[in-house]
Amino acid sequence: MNLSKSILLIATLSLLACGGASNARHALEYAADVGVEADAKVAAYHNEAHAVAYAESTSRADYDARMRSANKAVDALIVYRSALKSAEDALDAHSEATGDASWQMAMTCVIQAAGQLRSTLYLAKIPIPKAFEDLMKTASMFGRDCEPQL
Amino acid sequence: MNWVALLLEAIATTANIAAKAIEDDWDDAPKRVFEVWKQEQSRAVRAHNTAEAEKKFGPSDEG
Repeated sequence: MNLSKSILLIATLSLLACGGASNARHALEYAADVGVEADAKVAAYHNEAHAVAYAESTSRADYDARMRSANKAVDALIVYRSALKSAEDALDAHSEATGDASWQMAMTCVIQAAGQLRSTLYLAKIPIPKAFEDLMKTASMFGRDCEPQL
Repeated sequence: MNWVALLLEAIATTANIAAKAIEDDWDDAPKRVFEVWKQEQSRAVRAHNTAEAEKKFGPSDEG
């Protein structure tokens, strides 16, 4: 993820607050780019953690304890990717004419999943992609909840 | 920095960058999520590593 893509991500998410549905697909594309970058980091981290835990653990419980943060990072990535797909599905179903706001809620869930992933990476001491920092800084200003809008 | 300053900064940033975005990458049709993120690398790595651990230590109690 280069600087221009990070900037595009911020811009896109900012535009989303104004209801730009047509921009949402670009936002998802860049959010997926961030995910790919994080995925590679988490995979490398998992391998490193596994190598140590496999060699030094005395039992399965010991191994599981040593691998807990790496496994949580993988779980957070799975949730994040799923949130992206859900948002994309919501966009597919979106109708400009009816003003359906479900995709906006889905995008908020993407931001929330990104925040969860960022926290997990931080706790696991995995380098956090710069785009995530930018994403969360911008997203925090809009403060919506990841819940269906009534 | 308070929220007003943050908001002003975001507005200025967005205005400038949206123009650049439209000029550059947004000329292209957006890719689908699964086109960009085809394989879950870390998930596959975990599955492999967990299988290896299971051979050495046996099944996990964590489910």
